[in-house]
Amino acid sequence: MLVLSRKKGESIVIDDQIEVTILAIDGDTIKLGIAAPKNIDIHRKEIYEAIQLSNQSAAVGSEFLKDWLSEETTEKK
Amino acid sequence: MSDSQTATNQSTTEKEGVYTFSKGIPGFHEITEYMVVQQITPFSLLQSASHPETSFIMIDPFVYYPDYEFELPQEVVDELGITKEEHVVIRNIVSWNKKAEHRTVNLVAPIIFNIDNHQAKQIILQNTQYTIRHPLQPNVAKGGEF
Repeated sequence: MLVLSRKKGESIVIDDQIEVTILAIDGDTIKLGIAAPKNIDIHRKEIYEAIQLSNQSAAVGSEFLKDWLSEETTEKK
Repeated sequence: MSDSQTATNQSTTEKEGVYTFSKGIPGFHEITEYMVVQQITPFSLLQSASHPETSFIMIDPFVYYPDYEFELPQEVVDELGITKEEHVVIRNIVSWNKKAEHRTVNLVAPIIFNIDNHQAKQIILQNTQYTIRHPLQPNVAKGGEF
């Protein structure tokens, strides 16, 4: 991992296209400004990981679906 | 299409078929193509053709949560090539459980379908009051034909 020191108002540039600026520092909270091309998705990591986990636990296989379909069909009758 | 649009209750009845998720969905980046199959209303399925063990049960969120709303970011409108509001279909992934009271729906990460060009993306809402595990309330409402 590359480690860089930056002061408030300073930036780093990633791959010519992405610029991350330190906007404000307040105790242990840092406010970042990120300028990136539109096709770059930016997320808070813990939220992104929670969505990954949620998707992984929601994924179902073909055996499950067979049962699910027959149960749901019976339930509705 | 205006700069930002509010996704609200809409009942778009449209085709099933193959949709392209150019970056996959979180947790499943390797899968970029899914079939959408209408099931027992209001459920539909998102099924990977290449990975038969990866399918998702989806619901039409507006059937269960008529007040569900969020702003579709302009980047998503551009990325999916959305030109008309009526081409947009919203679905949310359900975490199924045998017990109805334990079924939940992810309202933080809706899937946006462009039924015109069959591009789709699961987006993550920023600063939202919705939750990833919202209880799926039993409801007698109907609708939600994909």
